[in-house]
Amino acid sequence: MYVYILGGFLGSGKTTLLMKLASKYSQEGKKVAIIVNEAGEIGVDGATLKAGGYDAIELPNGCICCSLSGTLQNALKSIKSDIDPDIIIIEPTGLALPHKVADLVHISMIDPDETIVIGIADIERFKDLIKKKEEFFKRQMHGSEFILLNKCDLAKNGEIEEATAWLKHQFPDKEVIPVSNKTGENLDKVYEKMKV
Amino acid sequence: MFGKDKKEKDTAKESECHCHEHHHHHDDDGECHCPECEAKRNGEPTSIAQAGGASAGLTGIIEGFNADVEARFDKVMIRTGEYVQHEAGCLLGHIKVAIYQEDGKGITLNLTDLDNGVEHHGTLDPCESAKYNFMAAVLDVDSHELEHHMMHFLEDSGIDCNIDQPHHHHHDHDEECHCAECEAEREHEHHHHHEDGEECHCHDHEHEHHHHHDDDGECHCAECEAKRKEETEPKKSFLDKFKKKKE
Repeated sequence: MYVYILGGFLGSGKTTLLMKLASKYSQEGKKVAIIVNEAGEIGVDGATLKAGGYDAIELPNGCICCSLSGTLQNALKSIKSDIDPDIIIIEPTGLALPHKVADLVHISMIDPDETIVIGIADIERFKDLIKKKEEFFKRQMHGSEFILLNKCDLAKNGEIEEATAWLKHQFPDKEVIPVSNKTGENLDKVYEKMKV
Repeated sequence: MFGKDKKEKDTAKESECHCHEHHHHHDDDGECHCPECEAKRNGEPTSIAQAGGASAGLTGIIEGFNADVEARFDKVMIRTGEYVQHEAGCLLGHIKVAIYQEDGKGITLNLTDLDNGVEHHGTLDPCESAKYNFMAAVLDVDSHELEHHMMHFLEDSGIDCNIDQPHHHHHDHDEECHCAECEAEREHEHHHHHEDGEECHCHDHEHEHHHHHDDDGECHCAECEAKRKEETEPKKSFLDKFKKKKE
């Protein structure tokens, strides 16, 4: 069983990628379990996934990396015992620290083959985010296996190169892949990196 | 001995963590060392607080869903985005709406960038009623203010819907809302009592800071507070002054 954590800021495209991954692995006949976390009491991602035909466990009203960490561990244990999936995809809130979620997966004793964090950054609001919340963004990307620079279909001239250079400077050990989760551009490169 | 055993038993019972059910993290000290409990003990801010995040949401039922309602929701989201942009300087975060039937089928609307507008996903045929979830998770705004504005934008939209969770839960026991907007409204009402030359006669000085008045009818501006303090404080005697000098 592999656990994938989709980490990235609010609106970076985590839900879109989650749906693509869930669709791909379901079509391949793999058992996929989904956990979505919402910071507020009211969530929309659960409804979005349900409308798309996916069943997801919703953990609202807090963050699974801190205030809902116990709830996450209980959910993981239930999934393991009730479904025993091939892959668990976790979408934390866009305000979570994904490496902390990975730590919680490790201590939850579900014994996955591997836990992998995929970092997602939004090219459109990259500059604004760095300007306002650079430290927080760096902490979000810190534990990622690789970083997806999403919405590259909407990027203006030079933006992808500029953002890639910044990310490579900050995280020299991480591969940066420009993608469009919406159009599917470059997602084959992402699937190649997946270990399932 | 019996007493001691009982005490130990009681202590063990008390030291169990009941906030969740992962007892395996408890050490010999009987305390839970999961990140959740550790963070609580250390007073560590949540990641949401660290990021300066705010979230708010409303749910309810729309009477008569059609393309017009979808377009009006679009406007509600844009207005919410504009409010966040105005307050925080830029819209960092997302504003989402799901409109769906009992069976889960429905549409989702997503706003992350005001220039790009609202993205619409899925289709929903016109129907007599549909549920909606309307949420925003953004940075650098007050979550109560955000919810309050979302509610007003929705109410002003002309969409025939109810709101399940009006924001009474944030109100004090006096059932009055103390968000900036409601406070301002109340101040405005107060101002209307002063019609004769725009002067306040509830106490005996002229001023233009009507906004400081509370329900007790007293002015709480710095000037009046200082005056009250001076009146209520016991006057210092010669001995007090002498003591202070000695110190």
